[in-house]
Amino acid sequence: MPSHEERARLIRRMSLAVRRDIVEMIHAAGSGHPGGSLSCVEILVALYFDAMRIRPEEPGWPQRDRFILSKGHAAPALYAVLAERGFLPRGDLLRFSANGSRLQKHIDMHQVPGAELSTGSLGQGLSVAVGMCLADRIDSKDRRVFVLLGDGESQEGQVWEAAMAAAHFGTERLTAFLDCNKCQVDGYVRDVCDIDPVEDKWRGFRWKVRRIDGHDPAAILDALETARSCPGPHMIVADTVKGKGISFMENRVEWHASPLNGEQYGQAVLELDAEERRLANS
Amino acid sequence: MESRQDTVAALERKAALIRRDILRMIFLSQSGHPGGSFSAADIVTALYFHFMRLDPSNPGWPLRDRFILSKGHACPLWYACLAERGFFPREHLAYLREIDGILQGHPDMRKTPGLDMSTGSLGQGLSAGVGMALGLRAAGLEEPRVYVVLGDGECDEGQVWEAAMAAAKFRLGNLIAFIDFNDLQLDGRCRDVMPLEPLADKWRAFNWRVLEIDGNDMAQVFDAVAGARGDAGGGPWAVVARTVKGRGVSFMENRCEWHGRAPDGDEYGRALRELGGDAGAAPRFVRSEAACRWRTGERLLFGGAKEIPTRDAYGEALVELGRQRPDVVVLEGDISKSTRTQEFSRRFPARFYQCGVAEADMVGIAAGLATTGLIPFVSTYSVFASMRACEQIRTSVAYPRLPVKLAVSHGGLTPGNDGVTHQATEDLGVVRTIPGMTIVVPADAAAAKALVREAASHPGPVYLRFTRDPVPVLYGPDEEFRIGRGKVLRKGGDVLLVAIGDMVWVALEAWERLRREGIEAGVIDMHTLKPLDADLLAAEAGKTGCVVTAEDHQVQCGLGGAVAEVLGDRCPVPLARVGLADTFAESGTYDFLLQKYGMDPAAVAAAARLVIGRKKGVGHAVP
Repeated sequence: MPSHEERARLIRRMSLAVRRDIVEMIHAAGSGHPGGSLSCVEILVALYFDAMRIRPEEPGWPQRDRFILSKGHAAPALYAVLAERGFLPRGDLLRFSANGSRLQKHIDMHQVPGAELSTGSLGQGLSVAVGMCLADRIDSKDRRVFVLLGDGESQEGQVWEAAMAAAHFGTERLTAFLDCNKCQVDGYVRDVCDIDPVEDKWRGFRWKVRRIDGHDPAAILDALETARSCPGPHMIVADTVKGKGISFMENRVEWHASPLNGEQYGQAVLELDAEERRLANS
Repeated sequence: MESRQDTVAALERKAALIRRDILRMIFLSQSGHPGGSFSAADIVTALYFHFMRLDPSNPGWPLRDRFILSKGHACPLWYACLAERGFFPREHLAYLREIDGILQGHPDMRKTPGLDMSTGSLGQGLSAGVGMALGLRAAGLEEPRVYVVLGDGECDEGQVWEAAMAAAKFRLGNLIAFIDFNDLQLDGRCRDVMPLEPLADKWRAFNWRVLEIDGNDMAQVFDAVAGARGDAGGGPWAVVARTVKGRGVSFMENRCEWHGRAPDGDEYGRALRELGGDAGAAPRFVRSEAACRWRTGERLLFGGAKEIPTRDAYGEALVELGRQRPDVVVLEGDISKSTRTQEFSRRFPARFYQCGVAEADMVGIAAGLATTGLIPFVSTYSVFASMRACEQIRTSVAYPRLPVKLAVSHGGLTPGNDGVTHQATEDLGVVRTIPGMTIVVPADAAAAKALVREAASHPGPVYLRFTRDPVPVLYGPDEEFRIGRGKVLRKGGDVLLVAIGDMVWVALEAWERLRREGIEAGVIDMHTLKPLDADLLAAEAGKTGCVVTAEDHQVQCGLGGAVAEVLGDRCPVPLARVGLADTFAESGTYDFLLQKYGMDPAAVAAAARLVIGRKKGVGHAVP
């Protein structure tokens, strides 16, 4: 049984690999959403490599936990994680967003092994997650459901409908993350339409709320453990950095949907190489 | 200078008068929403008779305060206040929800002087209020205030929280919202249907300043409004007002069933006395039946026929399905008595999900249930499903090809005097455009039962539309129906009448009229709008050489559009389309509306004669 520290180290290591995949696939495609993909890497890795009960060789395993990427534009992050976890061949990543490819810019659930829902239009994923929890209750299944929302996404009214419904139905095995990277398309969230006080809102809607550093594997593991140990619904507000891991992207609104050119890609790889060396030596 | 005490006392008397007018309005109309009108009466009376700066002779006065009744079904309250303030003659109050009238079933700002916004579909009014507040600020007008009254059940709607976020973002200190917290919605207590508490905390978390009051205590209402309107510096105000639904009439207070029910004569008398009225005194407004220029349409075939709303058949079919199929689940948007899912909820409570007034979320939840192999039936009114949750249907259901069945009531003009906000007259066109959707509109109760069963086993998403009002029974209980296969009801070589849903009986009535004139018409019940039975249509159109479509829907994009597409592709013949001519209708009884909007049997017969006439000149453009 690996120690907490070993599990955190695995997440750091895999997060680096996933970041490489993300910048590579977006560069190759000349298209995609790097900023919001990079901000949720540790969360996705923690879910797929630690918390979730899944079988890559059997994506439809009836006992599986489910994850919904409600902020569907972060598809590159999910594709990379699914590939690293063994749901997809890594070679597929280089066909991201290419004509006829099954890895489209936004996820088509019927084309991607391991994907639970087609997303892309913000605000809809939490509702579907609630429905999945209700179905589990009928079957008396022990499955868990996880959802990742964007902070800008929580401006959508449907999110609050789903929040109300989740509390009303008592969806105990539902855990949501809010990827609070503070940036959306037209500017910083606080300028476009401030969502603070975030924790008060979710508590007001009767969720159990925690706030963590979304890039700290130990904190993520801890929050997931707490969520496991008591009935939800749980909201883990994760403070993150848009474009995390690539210095010239970090906290920059303009990297929401910009692909990397050759020079930028080269620079990104150098930075990730340096990070890899740093990790190896630590 | 009147003291606060005197003002409050005067407002209390005024509120009693307003309540008496509301009661009488609803009694005369035998339709309307007393419970929610009474609970908010003190707040709205205080606004209209003390706080709001208005000019009844100039409803558009730019410096006026604005008011939006977002919970639009309480419009008798709004109308009573406007009449009493002199915006229109009080006589109109006798004709609530009447055809040709200025007082629609839900507020129509183009018909009633003094209304600042049309409402009726919950969740939209606060957004309009935000816009008004922004507009006033943009015009440099610091004095006017925007007042919005919301229902508590209405706060289930996500759009309310979008508006809340925006109001706070824009720091709209000139916006004051009241939440009429009477803790009752259609399907029960709010705490049971969709709990709202902690409601005040929610509004605070959305950065509103919050006051909590007893909304039926005029002194507290007075102080709250005075305080809020005098302090516009710090952002919007939310007044969470605890009220009693039906306040003022003891047998209505706190009773769910008085949401949308009219009192009978005896109840009216008792209520009037409780409200301080004198049954012996001359009434403030009277109704004259002679004022109505419409008469019930003549029926040649179905006069005295047995009539059943197809939504009733849906409710029964759902229970049978529930018994036969453990994988069928039902989702409801707070109107189970109306959509008829209530019986299923009683028999199979573990498979019934009450989602409250939140249609977009409800469709999403259905999608989630469907991913696990269940067959969800989603019920609400057609207009809310197809419009409010349109994108969710497209993206969460149709695109992933999930077997969600949208089984929705109140199609077309059948909601009658509820008015435009509740009439689904564009739904078929909107849903038809979505790839992968199957659309079925049964013509009668027997068809509804059979097609509901078919829909449950049909692969993929299905949209089923039912009537609010009764329609004649056309088929025997053992009649067979197949999704995608039209039914030929009559054969005739002169013209083909293609009808759907509650226009099938109308087409049959037209058939009889034509027969008596020596014109032989064919009639098809095209219950499946998508996929349309194109082979049948092309074959029968080829035999007759001209076609009339009839639908309870706009003439564009629905059945008329689908038939035009097939005829254009395969069998170009003259076509006339009967339905709403690209217009919204209005409040009125279904029968009168069909006559007024050119959709009754006489209109279908006239269209048939017209299109037969065009047959002779086939190939020439019609001017």
